[in-house]
Amino acid sequence: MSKDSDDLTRLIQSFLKFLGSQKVAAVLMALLLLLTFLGTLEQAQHGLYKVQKTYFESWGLIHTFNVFSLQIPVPLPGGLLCMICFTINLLVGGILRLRVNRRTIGIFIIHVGIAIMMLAGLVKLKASDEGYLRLWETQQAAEYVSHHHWELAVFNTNPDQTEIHEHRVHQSRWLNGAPLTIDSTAETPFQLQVRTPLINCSPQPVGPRWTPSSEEVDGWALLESQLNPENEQNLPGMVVEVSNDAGLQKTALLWGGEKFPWTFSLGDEIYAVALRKVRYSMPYSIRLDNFEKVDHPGIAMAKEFRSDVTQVKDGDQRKIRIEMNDPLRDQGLILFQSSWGPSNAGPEDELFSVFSVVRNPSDQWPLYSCIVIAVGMAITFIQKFLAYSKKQANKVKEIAR
Amino acid sequence: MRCLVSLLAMLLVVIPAPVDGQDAAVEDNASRSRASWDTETLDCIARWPLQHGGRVKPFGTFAGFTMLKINGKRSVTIDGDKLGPTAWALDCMLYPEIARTYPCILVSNAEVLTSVGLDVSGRKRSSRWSYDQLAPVLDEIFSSASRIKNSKDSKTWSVVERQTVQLAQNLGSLEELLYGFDSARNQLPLFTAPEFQEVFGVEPRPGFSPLIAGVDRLANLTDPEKLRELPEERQTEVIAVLDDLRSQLVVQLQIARRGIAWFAPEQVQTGKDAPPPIWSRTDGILESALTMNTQPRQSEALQTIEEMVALRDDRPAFKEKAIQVQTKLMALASSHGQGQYVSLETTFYRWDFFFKALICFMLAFVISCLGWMKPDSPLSSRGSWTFSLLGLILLVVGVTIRCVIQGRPPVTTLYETILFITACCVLTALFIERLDRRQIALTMATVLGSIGCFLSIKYEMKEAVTAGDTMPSLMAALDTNFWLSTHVTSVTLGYSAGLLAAAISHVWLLGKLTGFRKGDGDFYRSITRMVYGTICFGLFFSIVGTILGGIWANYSWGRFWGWDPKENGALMICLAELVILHARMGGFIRDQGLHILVLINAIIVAFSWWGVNLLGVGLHSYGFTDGIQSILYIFYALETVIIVMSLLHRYFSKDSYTRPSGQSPTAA
Repeated sequence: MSKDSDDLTRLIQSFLKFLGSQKVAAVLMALLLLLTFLGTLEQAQHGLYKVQKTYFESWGLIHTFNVFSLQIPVPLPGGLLCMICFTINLLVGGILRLRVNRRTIGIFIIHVGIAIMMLAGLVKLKASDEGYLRLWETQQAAEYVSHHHWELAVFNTNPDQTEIHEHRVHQSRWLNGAPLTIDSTAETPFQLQVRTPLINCSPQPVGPRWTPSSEEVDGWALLESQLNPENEQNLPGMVVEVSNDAGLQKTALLWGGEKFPWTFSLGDEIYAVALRKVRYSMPYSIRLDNFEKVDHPGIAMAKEFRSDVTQVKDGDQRKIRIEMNDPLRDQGLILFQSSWGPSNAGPEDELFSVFSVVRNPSDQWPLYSCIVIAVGMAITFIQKFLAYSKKQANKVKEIAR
Repeated sequence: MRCLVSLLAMLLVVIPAPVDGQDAAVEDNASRSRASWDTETLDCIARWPLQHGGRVKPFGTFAGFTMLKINGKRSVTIDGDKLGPTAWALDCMLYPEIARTYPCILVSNAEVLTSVGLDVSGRKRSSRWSYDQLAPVLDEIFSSASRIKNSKDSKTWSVVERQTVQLAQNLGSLEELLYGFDSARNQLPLFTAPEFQEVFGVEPRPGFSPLIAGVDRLANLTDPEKLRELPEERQTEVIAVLDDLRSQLVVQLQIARRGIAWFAPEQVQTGKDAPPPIWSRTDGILESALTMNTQPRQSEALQTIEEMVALRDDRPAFKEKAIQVQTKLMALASSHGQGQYVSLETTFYRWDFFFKALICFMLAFVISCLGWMKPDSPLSSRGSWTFSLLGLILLVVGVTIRCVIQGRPPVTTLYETILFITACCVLTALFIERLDRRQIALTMATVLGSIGCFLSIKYEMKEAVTAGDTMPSLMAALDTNFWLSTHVTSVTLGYSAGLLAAAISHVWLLGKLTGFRKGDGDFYRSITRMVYGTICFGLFFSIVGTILGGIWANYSWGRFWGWDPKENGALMICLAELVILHARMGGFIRDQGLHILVLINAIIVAFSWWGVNLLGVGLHSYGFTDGIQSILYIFYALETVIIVMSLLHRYFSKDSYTRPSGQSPTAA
């Protein structure tokens, strides 16, 4: 029994030793290096969003190498898998199994710093959301819009209601291609069926020159388009059907490019179904008081642009200026001055201001990790440098003698 | 008054006629030669402040980059007389009839001219042409360039199309100079009727100044009530003269609009949110006067310029006026706190620090090579040290002056990164040499210094073509000295260390290949130690710089990491250097493996520094990288060849690579 226990302990120890070894670290970092390189090259053709999903946030992928006229597909581990393995290797080899003493304290600190950074990345990946807020002067808003994600929102438009209750369905539930049925709720007393969702498409009239492969509704159907490398430009579409036991049955085409939702009557109520970018609520609202863009004199390049806004929260109002490199941080949300428009505006035209809005619990962690890593590296390399200098000085003395 | 207003309204809305050949009549009888410029006059005019490309700069800088762009170098020799940028630009503005004959338009591909129907027989493929020689095909060049720009995306232009567009832009810039003082030479019809003679005198000077000075009385003259008081035949004549004046002003204003913004505004705006002052051109001053809003100090400066132009053949009087112009323009500029570095910038370009540094590094390299042939001679070491230090001082002083002029850290453009990285490489190499004293790092300092300075001079030409300056205005997100001085300098220090380590690794790999100092294990161990230390140094700055970049992005755009190509490049350097250290410590690689990986790291540094900008995607795709691609591919190929040769050599000659056990650079 004891021998078996010793064997098991030895096995675990040797496994941990392997897991935390520098060889494994070198291999994982080499793989990450390769993935980063390939992902960077692929961006020119496929755009950032797709590459990010395929190379950096995946478990595995198949990359096609073009060697002269040959196309050689090679399976590779994804960035997410590599980073998880790398973090385990770092925790085991660089922190848990490292014997901390005067010589290795710097290395230990470096690894702790990298672990903090990896953790910050994980928190960002899993617990953050981001979008944009576009405001004209005097306009006020309390929600921001996702850059990439879409949702289906169903709601009663009855104006008697003081607050509109929306039933929202995130794209992750319907963009996988499979038909989806959304059951009725107290606010939406009907069933909604989603069919043939497409990631990028446009509605076209059905005619003698085009027979659609997807479902036709009132003489129109969705024509699937190639995916745009700029994911923000992709406009999804789908066929939706509402029905209930009372015999209601209505079908419509929904398309991301539509400015207004599809509406239908049910009894005295009017309901709306909207395909739109995901909207996130803010714990306060922002009103744009003044936006200013200042160009460098004589050339069409912005020198600075800034927004004077009023933050409205529980009846209180606070005047704030948001400008490049100086965001507003409050209640877990960060508002950055990111852009303006319209891009073709003339010198006297009114401009709107665009803010990037981010909710990231690990917002400042990279800064802390940077400080920790810098301290660790400084200790390690100064130790090494002093040892090297001492050795060189002795050598020079020897040569002089 | 109402008449003047209507005159102005017509001036501002009427679309002017083409300006080609407008001043031909004026210049017909002009002389075809001119006296030489004296240094003091040129020096004074080089210091005239002007606003261009979003910043205030001296005329010398403007002339230098315009000449570099058009001529491909900063001098042109005419009948044995070597003209610098200021003299050349002055000739263009004051003696356009002579300057048109200067062969100063570089056409690097004769195909560009044959495609527009010019006979180029007897000419080299790349040669310099004068404006007059190209005159028969000017219209065709401009229309061809316009066709290319309107019909195709610039990314799909062929080489000839790109060069055609470039030639048209260069000709446009030259025309701006040739017509630069056209309004000052032009005699407006202010004396052709007695009524006008009463206002402007019998012989008013050429230029806008007489009109500006008499604009109040001209307003009276154009008053309909006053016009009606004139006899009928006089009314007709006065209206005819006014019409002639209007026509000429339309043309002259159109020409002046393409001129140089010499005049800082008189009104000073203060306060944190005050916009940067926009300087006026000649047309702006006249338009202000015509709207009864005369700017006295600007008008006075304009008058002095016009008087100076009239004195072009009287060198002493001309010089005196040039000094007055400089004083007046500087007074206007300094009221806004601008122009204080105009003299410093003129001195900076006159000293040509980076060319002198190149000469020093090349001399140091030659002396260092002699030292390798005669190792016992202390002279070579001292000589090489002296010239390397001199080169480094010139480089650092030049970079520092640029920082002072721009008021920001020295790493905001690709051009500046070349200078900064070169200085860091040389400084680090000299520091290593101070410790090691084997002349290996010293020689590398001279090599890297020479290559860096050479590249900076070559790349300056490309910056001239695209930005017209190597100190361009920054986009809003980059305009933050804190992050520029922390993130960018750290990352570029990382680049420097990676390249320096690779340069030293070449000595190891090529030494082994050629059998240099065979059996001198200490020599090779020393190289490995240097490389290892340099990689550690580089890793520190690469990691800290990369994370700081993420933090900056988090402050600017709300995301720490966006997988942008430039960010990926920096990450790849960190990963490559971490692989080197871990593989070394984990026993994966020994000396040769280390040096080969360091060469691969140099390829990654080059990719990150220049290669990602060629991809044309991401937030960091700045800088003009045309023509860089082939240089980059040559670099990749050379490094790959060295790596492959080294591996093959090891395969066939294992003995050369065995080393006594227990010798590890990490122990150092």
